[in-house]
Amino acid sequence: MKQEGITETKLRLLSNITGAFRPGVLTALVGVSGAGKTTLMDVLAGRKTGGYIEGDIRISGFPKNQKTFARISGYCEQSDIHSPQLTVRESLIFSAWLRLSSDVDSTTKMVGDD
Amino acid sequence: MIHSPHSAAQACSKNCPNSFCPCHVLWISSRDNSRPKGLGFRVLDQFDKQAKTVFNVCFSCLGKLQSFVEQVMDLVEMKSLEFALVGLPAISGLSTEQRKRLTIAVELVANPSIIFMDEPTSGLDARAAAIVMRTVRNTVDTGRTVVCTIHQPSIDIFEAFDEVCITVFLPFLKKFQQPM
Repeated sequence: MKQEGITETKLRLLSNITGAFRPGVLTALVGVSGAGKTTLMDVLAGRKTGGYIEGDIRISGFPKNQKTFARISGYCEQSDIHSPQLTVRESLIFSAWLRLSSDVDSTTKMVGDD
Repeated sequence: MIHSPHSAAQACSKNCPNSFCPCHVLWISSRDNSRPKGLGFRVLDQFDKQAKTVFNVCFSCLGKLQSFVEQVMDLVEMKSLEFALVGLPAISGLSTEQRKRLTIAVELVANPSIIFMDEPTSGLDARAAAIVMRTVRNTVDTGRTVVCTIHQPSIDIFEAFDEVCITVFLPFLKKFQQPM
């Protein structure tokens, strides 16, 4: 690209984005191909580690801390990657085992599920 | 609809029906002066304390997870498939749509307050997409926040969403902003 006269070393993928996702609400992120939907979501979920991220992300008004945010967020990728040899139940238990607190006694019930 | 961040945050604090719901407002801003004030913050930590199943020492941890996993399976409507092998994509085992629901379930067992989904309905036919959207809707109805990217949604899928954020190319935006 430099040979073709582009002198900048950084490429801006997203610019001037402001918005809020309300709690308990299903929000669609809509845009044409290449508009940066996935990039935006990767940045919000903390999956983009390379490059430069400017601006701020807040959770309920508090600055996002990736360590705690990773504990309260989930991310379903576009490609479904699962172990073919496991059953559905085993897949879920495996995930729960890895991702829930080791104090599983207290995590037997889902919040908001009566 | 592109939200004014301040009003959206205020609307959220008003609309939150359940004081115990796992509520978070995800706040993104490219400016620092638009910070919301006086908004509640509640982490999803109100777990019910119920654990009965114990297998043996080795599997006790696993046993206690069972009832939790059971609830997640009910939520994604995969109870009947619980002992089905996942298999290889397009060769054996679960269908694309069932795999998608399994992906959602795998995230759900981590008990998140907010879930991001990257094009959950892409590559699915209308019926399969509707089933996946029903799962997503069930997830939202537990009080969680869900953010999906979506591409060319059909009207049935589009109507399942509560809110829409649109990302646009700046040149397009400038074109619309020009006076007629």
